[in-house]
Amino acid sequence: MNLVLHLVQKDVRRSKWSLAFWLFVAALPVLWGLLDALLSGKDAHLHAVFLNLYFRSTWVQALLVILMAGILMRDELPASTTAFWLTRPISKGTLLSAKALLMGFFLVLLPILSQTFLLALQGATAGELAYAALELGFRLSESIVLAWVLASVLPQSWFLVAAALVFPLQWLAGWWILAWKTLNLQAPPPFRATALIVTDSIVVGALTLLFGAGLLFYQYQTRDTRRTVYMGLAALTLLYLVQPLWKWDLQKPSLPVEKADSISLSLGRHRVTRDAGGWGSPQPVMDYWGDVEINGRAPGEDIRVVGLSTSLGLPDGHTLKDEGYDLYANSNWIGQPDTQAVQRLLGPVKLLNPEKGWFPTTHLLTLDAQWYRRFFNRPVSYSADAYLVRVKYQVEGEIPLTPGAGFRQGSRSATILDAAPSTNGFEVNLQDQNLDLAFKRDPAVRRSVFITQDGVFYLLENKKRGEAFLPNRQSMNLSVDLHEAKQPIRLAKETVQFSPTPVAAGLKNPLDQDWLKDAVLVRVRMEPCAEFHKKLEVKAFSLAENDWPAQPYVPMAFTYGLGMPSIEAFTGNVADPNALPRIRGRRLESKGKTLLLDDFEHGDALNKLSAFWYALADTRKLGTVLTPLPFKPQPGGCPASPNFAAHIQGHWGKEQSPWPFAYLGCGFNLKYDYVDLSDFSAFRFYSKGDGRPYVLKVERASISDFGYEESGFTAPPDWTQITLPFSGFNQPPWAKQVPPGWQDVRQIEFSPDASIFSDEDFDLWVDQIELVK
Amino acid sequence: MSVIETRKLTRRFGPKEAVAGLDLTVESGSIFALLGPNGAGKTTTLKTLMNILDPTSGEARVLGVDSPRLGPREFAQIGYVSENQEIPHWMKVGEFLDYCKPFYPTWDGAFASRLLKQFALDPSQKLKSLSRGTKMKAALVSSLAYRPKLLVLDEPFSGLDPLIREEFIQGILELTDQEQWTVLISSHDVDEVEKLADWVGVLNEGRLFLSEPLDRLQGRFKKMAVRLPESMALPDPLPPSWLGTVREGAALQFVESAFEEEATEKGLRKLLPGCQSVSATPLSLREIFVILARDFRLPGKGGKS
Repeated sequence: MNLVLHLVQKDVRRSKWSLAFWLFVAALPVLWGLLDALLSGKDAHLHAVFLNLYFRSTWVQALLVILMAGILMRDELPASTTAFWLTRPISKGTLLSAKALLMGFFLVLLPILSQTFLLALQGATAGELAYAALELGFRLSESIVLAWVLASVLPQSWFLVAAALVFPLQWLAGWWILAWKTLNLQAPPPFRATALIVTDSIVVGALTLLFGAGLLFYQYQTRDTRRTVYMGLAALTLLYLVQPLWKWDLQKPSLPVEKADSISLSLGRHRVTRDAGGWGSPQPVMDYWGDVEINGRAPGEDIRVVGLSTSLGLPDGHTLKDEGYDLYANSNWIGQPDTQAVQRLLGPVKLLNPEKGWFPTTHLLTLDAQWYRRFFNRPVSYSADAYLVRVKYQVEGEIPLTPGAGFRQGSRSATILDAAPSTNGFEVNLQDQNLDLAFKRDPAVRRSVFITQDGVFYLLENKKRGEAFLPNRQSMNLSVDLHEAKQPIRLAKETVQFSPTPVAAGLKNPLDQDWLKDAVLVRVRMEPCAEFHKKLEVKAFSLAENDWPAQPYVPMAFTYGLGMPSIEAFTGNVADPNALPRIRGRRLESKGKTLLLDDFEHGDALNKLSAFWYALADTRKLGTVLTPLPFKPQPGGCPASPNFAAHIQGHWGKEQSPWPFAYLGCGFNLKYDYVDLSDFSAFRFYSKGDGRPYVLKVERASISDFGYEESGFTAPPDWTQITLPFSGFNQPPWAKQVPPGWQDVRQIEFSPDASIFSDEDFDLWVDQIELVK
Repeated sequence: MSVIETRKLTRRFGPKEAVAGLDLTVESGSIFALLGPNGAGKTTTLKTLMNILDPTSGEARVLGVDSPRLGPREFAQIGYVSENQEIPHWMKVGEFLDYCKPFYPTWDGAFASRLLKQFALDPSQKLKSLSRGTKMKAALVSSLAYRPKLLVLDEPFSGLDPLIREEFIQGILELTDQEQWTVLISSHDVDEVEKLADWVGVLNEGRLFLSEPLDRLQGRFKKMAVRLPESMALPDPLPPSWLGTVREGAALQFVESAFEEEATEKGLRKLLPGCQSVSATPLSLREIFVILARDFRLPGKGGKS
């Protein structure tokens, strides 16, 4: 022990100026806390200034601790062959104990004491302080070990650069993990972003500690820097590449699991949105939405869907899992109270703007319309694993509508900064403060359920009149970064707006000065208390059979809907073609001898019958390439329509399982309904190209194995009119042969002839496509 | 009894063999000088012996312990001073000795003070302000004050001016006489080593070319001058013990590396009948080293003699 202290003493003497600066930075929270306690009083603005200064000082601490760790261990590097300690009677145990003691005291203990002092001043309980100390110690140790490893394997000048990069890299890594998980995995809902970032940072931190300690032990034992660097890089790769694949954090929050017998879950409605735009992309997207009806709520309780893992069974036997998740789609309602639950909580008090509350609409699935429109009129099955949480509503306090008034319970507090009428009603600016402790269960659960960490919302209530207002929906952005998520104390400024229901002209606005005179702000906490798991299943239905009118709030979008009561279960076996519906499409008619399908002169992908042209190719690593994607008519055309024509080119992949495909297709109406082409006898169109064989395929409902009827033609070098009589269309020999017919046609497809092409380029122009009687 | 013993000790850096199958023995109480040109593998050998580098193969025992297992107990009896070794430059000389003291149970404070005086070191001076030679002296004091059984010096004279070299050598010689230490010193400063060493080893390309007591080495290496009839031809090939043979007319000069007082002259007269005069002159260690070093560079040379 004497030798340990002797080494510590040596390092303290050596680094006295660096340590003095560090002590100053570490003590800043104490300084801000004391100044806050002495000067702020009831001045919430000044309080916010001091807490912001505290946050800034935690940034400096996080940066400085890495440099300090490097400085403190510099004298006894394990990597050197010239280090003084290597040929002196200093054991590794003594040395490492001395360094651990030194860093533990100065870089861990002192900042913990300083920060917990501030937390204690903010009203944290002893238990909360213990959790905070544990969390701070964990975070600091992670940084120290990382810095120690870096300093051990890098020359000193490099270390300074690396140390300066560690913090921003950690921060970026946090965002990367978040982005990866939210965008590429099966939809961790955006409101779990905070939970994700915190839980991930704990796992990454624990593994950093584990790997770091292992690397240090290895290097002090072997002094083999090169291998240590390789092992470090391997550990880093493992950590940051494999880490996003962990799905454990997508599990539901760790609440007591209750049997879900008392809860029934059903899909009230579906809405299919085929969005023609979005993010500047012309790619149509089909969004599936559903209203999840949940029964079994007790008074003062709400039941929320916190996770939904969906899958869609397609007619070709494939199952489609969640394909993506719109981060912004749900962010505006999480944190909003459920209207019915609030009404039950308030009892006789009347809610004057119930429409502001949460509506149990849940995003179910997003599909790429280009790919999946082919299944539009066929039976699909839908299933979802829904994770639900029972949330209890509790009134925590009532705050008078005056600046400086507030609520305080331990370390959690809220203070009104301003409260004034606004153009839309009434606005309250609040400052919320709460502790968010990574290792404490309760905040972890709340983080998993609400985007607002504390699960708190505010009502405006007039007790005399027995009336109340719900707050407006708030648009919550994902503003949590890694550093912020690692700090135990949180301070947030928020504006709560109350807007009354629009009233008819001439009527009095209910939210006036007279009403506000006796109003208070009611703070309600949503406390998650139990969880359930329910499976939602719709065995077989056709998506396009149930229309909804276009919704006014989805501009520039085509909206279809599915009324659940009209969905009838499809009882047959989907894989069995005999079970496919016997469809006779709407008869396609023309007054003249021909019906022009498209001449492309409009220059867009919508044909004359309001159906989309689209290009589609396999992505099965067979070498298939198709352009343009998405499809767009190209300048130049046949003599009859010279401005634009359809042009596809690319490379046909190797003709082997799982078989290449590439085609230009279109339907006969907007919804891709089946049509009856019995009035016609041939297709006629202009074509030119590379002189190679191509086919025109006709997709029919009666055919389930993609073995559609087709007729071949050669793409001549110059524009030439080609006529393909219906009588010349045949199914390929490998397909299950069905009786010929033209009553159930969905779409046509121009494609290279699969029986000829293999691993070859193709180039095809078509224009002026007509149906001929 | 041997303090250091290596057997087929090999240390590679990538494809390069810095030490190649070294068999070395340093007897207790000797002052063993490890000589060799730059890049011969001297420093690597010492670092491997001191457990700073791991041997690639073979074994090395220091104070009876395998070198990779050398720990605090052994280092408490070893003094190691190297030209490259870092010392805490931010300390003063006195602080440095105070820092080292608790690590050594046998630390002799009075002895340390005497050494400071002997080396004319000022305890209040900061190490970083000292010249290279004075820093080496401070390092030596910190490695002698606990009376180590083994003193390992790696290029201790490098960069020292002649006066300090002389002080350094005198200091070590006096102390060695008193303390009966074993000293292993690596250097290419042969003149200084000659004053110190009683045993010499010569390394070349990681191999030990020779290892024997200094007096025996100087006894068997003699500069020979022979007068011959001008018409007499030299034998072909020359005897392998002749090094650096030069003939100018009737004068023949070479270094006999296996000199024996009477036998050498007899052999010469038999080999060169008619030779008129034969004289043998002693060589300094420097001259022996130079002739050996030149011989290393000749094609096909460099093997163990």
